Amino acid sequence: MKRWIAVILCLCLGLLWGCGSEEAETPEVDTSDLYQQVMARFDGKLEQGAVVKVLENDTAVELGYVDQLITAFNEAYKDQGISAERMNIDQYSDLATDGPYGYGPDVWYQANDILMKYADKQHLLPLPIYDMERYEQIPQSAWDAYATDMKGETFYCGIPLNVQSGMLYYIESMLPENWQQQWDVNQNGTPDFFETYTALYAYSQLCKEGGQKTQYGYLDETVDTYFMSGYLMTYGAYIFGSNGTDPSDIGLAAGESYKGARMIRQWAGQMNNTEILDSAFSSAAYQYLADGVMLCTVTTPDVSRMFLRSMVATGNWTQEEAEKDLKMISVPRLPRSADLTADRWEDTVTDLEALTVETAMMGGINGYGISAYTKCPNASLAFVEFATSYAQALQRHEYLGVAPARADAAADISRNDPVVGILFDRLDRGLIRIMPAITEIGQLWTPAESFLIDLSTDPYRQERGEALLYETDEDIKAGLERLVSQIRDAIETLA
Amino acid sequence: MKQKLLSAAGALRRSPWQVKLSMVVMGLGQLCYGQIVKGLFYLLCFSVFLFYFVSRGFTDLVGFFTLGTREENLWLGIAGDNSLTMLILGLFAIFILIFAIVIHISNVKDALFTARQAEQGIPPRRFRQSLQTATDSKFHVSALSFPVLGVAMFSILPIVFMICIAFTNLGGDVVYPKLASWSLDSWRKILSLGKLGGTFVKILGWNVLWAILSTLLNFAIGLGMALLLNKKNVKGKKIWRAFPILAYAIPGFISMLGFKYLFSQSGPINYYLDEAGMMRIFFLTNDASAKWWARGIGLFVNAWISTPSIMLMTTGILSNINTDLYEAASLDGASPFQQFRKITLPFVLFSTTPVLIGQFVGNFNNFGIFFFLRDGVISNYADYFLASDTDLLINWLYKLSVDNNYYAIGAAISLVIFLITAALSLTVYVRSAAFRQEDTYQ
Repeated sequence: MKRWIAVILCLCLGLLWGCGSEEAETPEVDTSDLYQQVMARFDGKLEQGAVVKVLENDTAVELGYVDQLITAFNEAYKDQGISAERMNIDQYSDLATDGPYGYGPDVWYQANDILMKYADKQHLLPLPIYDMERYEQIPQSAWDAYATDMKGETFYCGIPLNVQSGMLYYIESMLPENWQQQWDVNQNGTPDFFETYTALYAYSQLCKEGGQKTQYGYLDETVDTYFMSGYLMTYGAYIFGSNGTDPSDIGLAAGESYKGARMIRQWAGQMNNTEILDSAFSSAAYQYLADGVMLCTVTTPDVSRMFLRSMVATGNWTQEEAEKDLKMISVPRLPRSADLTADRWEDTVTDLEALTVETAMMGGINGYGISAYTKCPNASLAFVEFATSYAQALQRHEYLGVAPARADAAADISRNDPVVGILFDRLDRGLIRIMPAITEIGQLWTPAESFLIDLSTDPYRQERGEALLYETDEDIKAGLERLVSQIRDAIETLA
Repeated sequence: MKQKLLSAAGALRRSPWQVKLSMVVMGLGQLCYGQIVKGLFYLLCFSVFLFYFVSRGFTDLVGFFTLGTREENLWLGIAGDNSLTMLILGLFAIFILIFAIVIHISNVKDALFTARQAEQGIPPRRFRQSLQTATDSKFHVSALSFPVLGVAMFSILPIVFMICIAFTNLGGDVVYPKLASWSLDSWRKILSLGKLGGTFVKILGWNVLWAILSTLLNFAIGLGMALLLNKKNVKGKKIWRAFPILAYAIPGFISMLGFKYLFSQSGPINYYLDEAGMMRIFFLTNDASAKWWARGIGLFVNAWISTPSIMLMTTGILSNINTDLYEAASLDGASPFQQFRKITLPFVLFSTTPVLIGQFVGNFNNFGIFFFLRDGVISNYADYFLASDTDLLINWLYKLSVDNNYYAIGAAISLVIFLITAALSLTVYVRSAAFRQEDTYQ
């Protein structure tokens, strides 16, 4: 089944963006005078003797990818008088503070929300993307994550490199022995509890009763805004209006988002484990999956190496066995009824379209930006072009397991790794809601986490003799409204 | 003061032309009196000041008041002003100006002194004589001038800079390349009844309570332990004393992280509660029920870290008390508690008041405890604005200024912290026996 999905996705990607590793021709796009003025510094003349300072992601450094990248770049450009070196500083540099005084990086790899909070204050340079061969290889939704406006014209301050969003992780050997008989009602070769959250809830209940291979079915940090916002978004919520650019329109209480919140509460009650209220859970999750405490959890693809490390550390798997046994698939579908116990789980998998909806998830596009304070814009651009090339996209995937934003690389990789195809497909169908790239996004996390803690603590209140805060839909709606007003206060009070 | 100024103005009006020349150009008067080296020194100072103010000092001074008039466009490569840099350079120019005025006054006073000597027929001082005076009768001035200069540059300038920031709108959206301006907005926001004001009052109340409770608790436990281990009938004193010292020797943040794990949802305490069939407790989780648990744990962890130092200090002080006092008190029929209240406590308090004030200020600004124990949450249930119910002002200040770049509000809160701690410390100190009866125990 998974093989078929991969083949179909490959074909789709090939049709959509053109397969193969051949360098595409540079597209011709009409550009304005303002665009020419802004791009004037990228005149193509490499600054002789320039050393491009590159600030990269810690995991990429730890796993050796960055050394490989820089060595390859220096080798490729050794005759052209430029080179690159890794900056050995915190990966979350403050470009606004460091840049003006010459301490920041020339080239910076980060998630779009982090990079773009520096773009609207002009700390990052707009890039001449129309002149690049990868312009047409990267979907517009990924470019949009780096878009910003000046005088009514759109500029792009980053080159998308890979897509991030939540995926469901599980260990195949931890599946119940009889899953093909008991948990594959629709006979499609995929365990039913990974197809719909209703079925996963039912299986998790079974695990709680005991007698299964794992103590819990699904266990997750229900207070993590990044992953839990998907429940709200599936039922109509959004973070900021106008495609994430209007901070005056905060949409977490929009549509029927309270239904999503209701299910988060249901999960918290079902899990009945207060560890999920603690952010320390995310680091404990690797071990819990390896130890068989839980069957599955949801997190981003870039941490797959952490799960593998924990599995190998138990002594039950070799590296090769762990790589074969650890699986990553698309998140299950949510019930249309927005109640994890309202439908029979068997019905939800046999009548998917009628009873369930596809789950939206928050996501991000990691990429490269160039500091506005760089003394070598052309050399920096050369580095960014090199690092986002087809060959390097494949290398990055090989080292880090990340899903490239380039269609050609994604199509190639998804032949062997269906995860990349799934992510790309979800991005294309709008099921990955890219994190807004405006400064105000910084005011989302803490109030949202506090709301989620409140919501997830609610199921324990009754047994503690405390009054329930989110017993009815009206309570949840009020809680979401309060969350919106807190975010608005944080944005407006200090503006 | 007015009289002094009038008399100085009169003296200057009546002074000879050489003094008036020195008033216009530093050192000229001295040169006219034949004081070549001193005159050249003042002239050099004058030239340096003049060069500095013509080349950039005046522009920096103007910049201090405007904080920039032209916004930079980094994308189009249009150069502009940086408000933060202009504020620093403007302050520096003000300090240089004050320094120049001080030098100029000393130059005029020196010319006036020489003129008076000349009137009395005394020949003007030669440079060597002036140096001798500087190392003899004016030694206090020469010895203090460099430290004062150092303090002004490295201590006063940064404090004034922070005070200035509190009166601008720097931070949030207003960061380079956007231009800042002078503003009272931060104060209006803190002192108003809005979100910031409400949170400020709540945090301030808890902060004062925390500082008092933690200082008293640490002192009481430390003194109690010292008294206990001072008893003759306690066996193995050295071993017992070693335990608190071990806690003291371990880096504080390691202990804090250890306690954080101990009280976390997945920690051993909750695990054993669970195993015993009891409900897990939200010790540090961001829940309304965790408020006093977390505050109590904060007090406990702080005592764990700070008590050993108090114990060591009071052990030393207790060994200095004359045992005859206790003997006499016993003969007079004083109970052990009366002996403690009338002899031990006043003696220890007398010696430790300045340390206790230091402890109070340290606890008031104790950033680490709640940063490590309870980072990353805000107490939305009680309308705390970007803060949790255990945050102290210093933690809130960190969240506002470091996490959210609201420099001006952060600086304003710093000023409030400074005013409160300075006022309380001074009040307690001047009312203490250590200050009022300094000679009593000497």
